[in-house]
Amino acid sequence: MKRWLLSMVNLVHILLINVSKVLLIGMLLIVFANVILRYVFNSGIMWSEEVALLFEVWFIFLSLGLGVKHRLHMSINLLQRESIPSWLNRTLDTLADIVFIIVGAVMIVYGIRLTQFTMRSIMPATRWPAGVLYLVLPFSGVLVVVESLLHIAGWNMFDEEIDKYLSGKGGSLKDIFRSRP
Amino acid sequence: MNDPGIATALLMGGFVLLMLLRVPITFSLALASIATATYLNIPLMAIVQQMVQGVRSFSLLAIPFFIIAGEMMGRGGIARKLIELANVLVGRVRGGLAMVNVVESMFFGGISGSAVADVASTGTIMIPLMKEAGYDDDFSVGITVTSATQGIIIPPSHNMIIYSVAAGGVSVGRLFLAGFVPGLLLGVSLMAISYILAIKRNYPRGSKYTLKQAVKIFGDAFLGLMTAVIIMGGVISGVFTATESAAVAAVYAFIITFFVYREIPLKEFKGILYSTLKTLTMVMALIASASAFSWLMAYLRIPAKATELLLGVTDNRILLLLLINVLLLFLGMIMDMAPLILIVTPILYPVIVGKLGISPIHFGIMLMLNLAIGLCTPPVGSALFVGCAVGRIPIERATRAMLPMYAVMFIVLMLITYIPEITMFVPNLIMPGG
Repeated sequence: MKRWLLSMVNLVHILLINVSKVLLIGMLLIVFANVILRYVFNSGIMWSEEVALLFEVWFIFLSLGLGVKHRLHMSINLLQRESIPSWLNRTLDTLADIVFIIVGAVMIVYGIRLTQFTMRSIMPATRWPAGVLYLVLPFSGVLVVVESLLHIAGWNMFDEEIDKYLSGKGGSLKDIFRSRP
Repeated sequence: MNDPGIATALLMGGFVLLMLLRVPITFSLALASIATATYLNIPLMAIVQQMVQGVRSFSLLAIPFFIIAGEMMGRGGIARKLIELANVLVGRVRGGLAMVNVVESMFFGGISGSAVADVASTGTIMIPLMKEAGYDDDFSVGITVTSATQGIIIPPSHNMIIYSVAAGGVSVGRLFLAGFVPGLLLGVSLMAISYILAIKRNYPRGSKYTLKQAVKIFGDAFLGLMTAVIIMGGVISGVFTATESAAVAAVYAFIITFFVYREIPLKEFKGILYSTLKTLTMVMALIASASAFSWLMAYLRIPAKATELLLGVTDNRILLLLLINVLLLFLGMIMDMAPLILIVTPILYPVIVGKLGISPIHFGIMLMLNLAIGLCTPPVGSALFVGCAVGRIPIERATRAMLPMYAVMFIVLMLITYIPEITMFVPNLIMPGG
């Protein structure tokens, strides 16, 4: 059960990293294509800005959630890890996790409400419902909450191995998922 | 039960307390905003909406594009080419390698706006090279770290885009142009101090190149430097917006790295995307929660109160500017760049631009330089930390060796603060108005 859960969480993480990469390249290509079309063929893409911005919002909030796993978010290290006792480090880490969970929960609850609320308004160029924009909030909130809970539980999530794999520095997914948590 | 004084204390105090307790800044800002909104009976839906709307900006799209372009050029070995080019140009002077270090950072800054990336990629080549040639290791680290901050001021710079958005849409084109002369001034000043130290400590001259070698080196670096030309040319001529020029530059950097320079195989692109993602997570998510935070600051009229407070201390223009610079230098010592820009800009903007009548462009450059110095100072200075890690020396030793460089940077800061023409001449000449 534990192993299954860990594999699922890690698989979702890797999947969403890839989704983020696609969004990043998507934004780039949309803006680039629009420039080329405008100056070479004299006709821009009407929906380019709206879709690029939608990708941007999704990209940013997915990365906000994904960043929790590898502790990527910047903090100021006036209380340096090496110079304070380990119980204090644990307490501060747990405090950060609790803050993550509260913020994540707000993103889930109010993100869902905001999405429902704006589903009926329409974005001008694409005619898509505006709620699509906010739909990423609950997703991101779930990522934040799940990663923080697992961090509090102190399970070995194979974060380093996953990071190494994603950086293209070797290791295979099979080995990561086979090893015992 | 919603006293604005208590709400202000909750917002600012909550944020500072959480941050000091090592909670990541993005989440400190978010939780302080959530708590304050709850206290003020502002629906939390408005807060999360503000987070999304804060990053839904076409200008901000330039940031991922600039970072991915810089990352590709960096991994593709551009640093080595620029070092060789700089060596041809200034290597023959006494203390040549220190000059090379500064000039290379000038070029690198024209491609990437990240001082930390510059320290990492230039430092790994230059610091061992300088040590081998007989330079002191603490001096080598110091000049690498301080010169890398030119990248923040020399365009393109993604921190300027963050400022432009935080200041409510200052022209990115004019900001970029304004960075040229101050960036050069900083570089030339750092070269001057290196020269003086080189003579005193008898650092060696660099090697000589034949004309044929020089031409080849220039040709090699030229294609990489074209990235800067595309960006600046596009923005100045008005052909592209900053975001569009960033997209074109990113596609160009992709082609140059993988099909012309070919120092790394195409399959490394996946890893490059991943590290770009990691960098962007730090910067962009922060902008989201900072925009909810600054929305509440505006709601509570905190910028107006800060203005009153500062004007209450003194209304002498010269002293007030000095006070603001000292405040920014202090904050820069303990906080990283992007969060400071996002929080400080809305607070100081009304005093500086509204009351003192200073151009938002001029203030932007002042802010960049202040925070650039902050990147080189302990206890929190990311450029300094990377430099010390690369050069394998303790931070205390590096900072002691950097004292003359801090002094130089401070003098440059004062010149830029009190002589607006240094900053404003180029943008007023090329892109007047706006």
